Amino acid sequence: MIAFANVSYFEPWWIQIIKGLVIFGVAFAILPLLTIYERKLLGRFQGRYGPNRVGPFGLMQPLAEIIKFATKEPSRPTTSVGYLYRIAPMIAILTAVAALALVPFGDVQHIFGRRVGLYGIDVSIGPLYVFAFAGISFYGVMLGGWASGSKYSFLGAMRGAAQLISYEVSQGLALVGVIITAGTLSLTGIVHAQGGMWYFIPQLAGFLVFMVASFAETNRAPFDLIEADAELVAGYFTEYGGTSFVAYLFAEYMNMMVVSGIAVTMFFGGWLLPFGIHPPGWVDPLVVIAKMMAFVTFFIWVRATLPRLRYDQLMAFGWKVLLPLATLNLLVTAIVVVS
Amino acid sequence: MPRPEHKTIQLTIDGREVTAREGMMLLDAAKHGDIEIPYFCYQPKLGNPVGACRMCLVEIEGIPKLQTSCSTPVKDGMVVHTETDRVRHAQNAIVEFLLVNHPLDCPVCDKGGECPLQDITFGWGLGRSRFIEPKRHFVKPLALSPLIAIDRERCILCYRCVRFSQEISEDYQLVFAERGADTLVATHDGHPYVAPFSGNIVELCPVGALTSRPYRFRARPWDNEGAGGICTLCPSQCNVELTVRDEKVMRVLARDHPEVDDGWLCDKGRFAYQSIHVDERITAPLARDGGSLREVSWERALELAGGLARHKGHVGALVGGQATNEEGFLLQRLLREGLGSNDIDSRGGGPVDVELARALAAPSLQASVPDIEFAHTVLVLGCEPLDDAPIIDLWIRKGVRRRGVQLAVASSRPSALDVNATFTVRYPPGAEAGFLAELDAALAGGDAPQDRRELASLLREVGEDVVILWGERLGAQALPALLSIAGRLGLADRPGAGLLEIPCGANGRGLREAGAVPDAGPGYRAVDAPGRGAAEIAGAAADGDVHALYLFQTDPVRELPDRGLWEQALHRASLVVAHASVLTEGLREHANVIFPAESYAEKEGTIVHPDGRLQRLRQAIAHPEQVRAGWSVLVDVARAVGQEMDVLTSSMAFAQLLAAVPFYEGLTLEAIGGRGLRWPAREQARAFPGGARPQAPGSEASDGRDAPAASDGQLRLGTYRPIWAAPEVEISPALHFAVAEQQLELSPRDAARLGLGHGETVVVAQNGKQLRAKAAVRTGVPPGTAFLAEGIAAQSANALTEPFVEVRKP
Amino acid sequence: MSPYDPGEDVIEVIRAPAPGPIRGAYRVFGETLRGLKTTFARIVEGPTTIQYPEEKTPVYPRFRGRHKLHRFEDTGLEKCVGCSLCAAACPADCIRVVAAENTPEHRISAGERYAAVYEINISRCIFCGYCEVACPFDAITMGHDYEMSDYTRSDLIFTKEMLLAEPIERTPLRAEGE
Repeated sequence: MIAFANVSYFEPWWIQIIKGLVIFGVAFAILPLLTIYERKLLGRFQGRYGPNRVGPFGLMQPLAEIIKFATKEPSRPTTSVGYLYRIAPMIAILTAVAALALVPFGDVQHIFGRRVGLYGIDVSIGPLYVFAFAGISFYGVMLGGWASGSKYSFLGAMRGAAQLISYEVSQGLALVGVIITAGTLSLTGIVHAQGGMWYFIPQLAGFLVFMVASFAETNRAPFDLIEADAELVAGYFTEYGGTSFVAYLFAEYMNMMVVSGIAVTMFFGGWLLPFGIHPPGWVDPLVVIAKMMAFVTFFIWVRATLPRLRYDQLMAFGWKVLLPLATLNLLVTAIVVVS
Repeated sequence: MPRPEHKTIQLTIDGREVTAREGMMLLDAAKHGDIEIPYFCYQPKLGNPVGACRMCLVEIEGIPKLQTSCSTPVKDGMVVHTETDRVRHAQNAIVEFLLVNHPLDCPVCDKGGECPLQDITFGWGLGRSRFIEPKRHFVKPLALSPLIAIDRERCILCYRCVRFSQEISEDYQLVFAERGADTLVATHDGHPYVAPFSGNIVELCPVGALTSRPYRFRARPWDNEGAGGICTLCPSQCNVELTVRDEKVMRVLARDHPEVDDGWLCDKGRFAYQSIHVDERITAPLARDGGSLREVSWERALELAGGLARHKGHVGALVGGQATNEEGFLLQRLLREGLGSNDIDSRGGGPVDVELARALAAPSLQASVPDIEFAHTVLVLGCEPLDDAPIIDLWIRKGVRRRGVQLAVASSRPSALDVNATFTVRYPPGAEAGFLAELDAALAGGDAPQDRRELASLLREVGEDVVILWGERLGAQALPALLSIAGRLGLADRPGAGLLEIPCGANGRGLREAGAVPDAGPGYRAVDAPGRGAAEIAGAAADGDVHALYLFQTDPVRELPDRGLWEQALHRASLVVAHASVLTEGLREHANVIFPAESYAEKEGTIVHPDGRLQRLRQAIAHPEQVRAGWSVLVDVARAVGQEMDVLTSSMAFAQLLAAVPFYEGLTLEAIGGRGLRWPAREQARAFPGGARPQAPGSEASDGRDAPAASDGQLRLGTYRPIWAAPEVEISPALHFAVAEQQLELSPRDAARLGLGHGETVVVAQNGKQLRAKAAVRTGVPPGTAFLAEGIAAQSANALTEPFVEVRKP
Repeated sequence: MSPYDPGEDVIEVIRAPAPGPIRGAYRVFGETLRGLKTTFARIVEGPTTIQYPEEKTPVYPRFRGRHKLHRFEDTGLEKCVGCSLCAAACPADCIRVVAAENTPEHRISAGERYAAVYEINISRCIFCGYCEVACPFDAITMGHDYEMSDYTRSDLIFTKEMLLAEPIERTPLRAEGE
């Protein structure tokens, strides 16, 4: 194994920077849209309109809210630990964006006479990189919860720690099946390997496990015990307000995008289209984004449908159902691949 | 007649053992036994029952027909049923009959909500009627008088109003006109029913047939709160219930006190409440600024009043009759302690020697108001109860009509009670002292004119319970003889006999006891250097010896004799501080600072009834606008002149009064309560200075001098104060029709001599002063005498100072 | 032995029988799908929201909304005679009536008296409708309007003129069976 994938081309530093800025910019442009999308869709699932008063169809609602949050007075509890309290939301959002860098939005294209990969970075240890940053993002939650100096935040953070550790194992194991099948750790490599058949068919069990674990990893319903508002006010970010609160909120949505992107890459053939359609290279990012949005929609749909699990059910499900299932999937895949 | 004694008997009503007084009506007995019998016409205050409404039918064992319980006296062992089917059927039928003609316009009727007919129909009626015939119709509403509206459709012909007019106020104006189904209540000739007590029929009416016009459509019972109070517009001090809505007095009802007012009110007390809520009332402090009065802040007004301090020793004060004991007490403290002056007076009848005043106020000599009803003889002396204390007039009428009281009237002016009197004697105005000296002599068996001797024998022979009702207006010269007469008749020795003084001011007695007189402190305590009385203050102020005047709810120009001198006095005074609620003439022209005074509905304090009953005024409504409590203003003024009163509440002022007056000792506001307490009847009355029994004063009674003879063509002038002579009446819209105008009462012989007809305008002249008046020819007026009203707003007789007047056509 | 012995406070918890693997899998995925179907059906159905300020919720005919005072249709005189029975019936004590007398020149109502002041303090009113029941002349009824909010409390004291006037906007009535 080597640290970087063998891409057989070289990108100059300024392209790297441009790519970084584009990913960062696009991600941050999408996030507000994502919030309004979620709220409107959630409304529809519940037989109502959702926000529809600010701007046409209520589309300016996120703007209004950003202004609202941005103009809030920053405050922190007297019991909080100052610098940790401020750093924690930054960690959360940085790790989320960093993970997004790995999602491939398209194949290598020729732009300005150069070969440019439509992704932030293609590392030869793709999934590990994702899990590494997912692991770090847990510090955002944990530190934020602890540094707030509030019992609700702390309880939320503790739940978060237990939940993330429990489900990361199953999530990882579910992906190992795909990696074995593809024979590469490079995410672009995995996409290319799905030219024949998208992996969600052979790896159906793995896909299901991955999806369930992803809900838990992103703290989305029905696994949002970490911010269970009925019990913990708002969980780990109870004490956060204004822009810090928005940072956590955006991190959560970014994580949802990242997980959707990984799922698209690993199981749904990335930028590939079925039935032998080969569109021009500039369509690839649109395909990926469309597939990602489908997953995001599914996330929202599930949130509108399922009630929150009890904590013991959450733990039991993670360890007693998902982990054995993922392990079994891995074993079967290994046997099939080896034989 | 002395109070009758009663036996108690036992009877059974609805199976319940009831104890009752013998002679009581069955309905009352049932009420005492907590059994309700419905009724409309029955009202014990109106005298004998008439059984007109038939609502109170009950079944009595042994009597075949149903009986009206209101007119059936109880008997020992009687067995009565009030809830049998027969009774119930009769009650249903009576209600149905009463409603045959009674319109169902309860929503517009003022009685709605407090209507006995509503209640009884609900409680004892059938709920439906078989009558489909049209009801009888009258024009409605008609004004029976400017104060009373009559709705004849609603009348159930219960007789109450007619009985009141015929038997209580004895004005004989209301009658039943027509007969049978056409019967209606009316006056004989269709004239408005104007009488001093007419308002009582509104309260008596059990339906909405007679309603008060000032209260018309003002409020509903559930909008109102009742607040007990005392009317302080005259010395009768009737207990009233003020109907309060939204902090405004809406009407005045009687709060039946069987020892003060017997449940009646005069029209002044019933309708002059309007003066509380009119624009004419002073509701903010005023100060003179360049010749006219302007509203100023309280701070400024008090600062100006603080200027009294510059005139220490040269301040005179007058206290009006509406002041409470506390106010009188605090004002005399301010004068005596703060301003170093004893020149304070509250008496309207001139100065009385302090020992004489003590002797006349001695507790054992005081008759109570119910004593009038149960006396053998009542002598009305030098006063007109109808004008001076109207309710006393009704008490006398009740005593004469129902208890066989022998009434003697001795006055200069013909009295409304003359017709009820066994004996009437007239003396010329100004000759009170001479008359009493002669009567005294007649009682002693000495030589006296015939009518004096007859009066003396009446007082001596009918019985020992003699009540002498005398007015403060009698004059100080007559009082030694009065005391002597009281001694000769032994009035101090009998509980049912005594003197009853009608003071000029409503709380005249209380103010004297509180020390608002120049020669006595609180509790008739002697003072070191007696000050000046009202007349002397006027003289001294006119001469410049008194620099400042403090007028507490009184306007001497209007209220006191010798208007010219008072105008001069007020004009000369460099500072005139007044408390007033109405801007009367003297204040408008001369006051420098006027504090808004409270009305009796706003006051908190105590007052003393002429018979020595301490009564409590309670605040019924909030002070309007900037009005402040009188006692607190006095305390503030005292502070402004550098005196600390140590009074923070009205009850603290009362406590100081209590400590200062020995014969009030042990009283509490709680004990006085809503019904009052007669201090002369208490054990502590022995602490009265000079003892409970009257002590003859050291100074000998001045000889009754004869009034000087009239010169040619002149008439001897007497004055009287009409019932309507009050600023409160003048500013009450409802009573505008009654505002007293000057009229010259003279005898037919003098009228003929002068060629004057009844109702003609005449000019009354004296020493270059002139008054215009309407001639009123009255047969009762002795020839050679004429009477003019004083205390009225215009052309008042207090401008005249000499005993004779010249009358001519204008 | 635990430091806290619950003793007799222990309540037996009755649980459903644990599902087997098949049934468990069905509960995890099958029931979840059923739930997803339910929520998706809501999208197909479309929102049931009533866009309030633009659309108004229709009310039933006997809805007790803002009070109305009535006039006689033929003469135009007010039906209210100012009898204050509504004020007496009002459990919230929110009605104030001050009556006055009609004169031939100044005739307001049909009877002898009329309401010179008729005020309802809407902020106190509990919309019980007792005033309507108490009124002997059917002068006051409960209308259908429910939009009565305002910025100051004093504006919520409705005067006679306001109560006599027709409401500016009509509140829709709910149709039969709706």
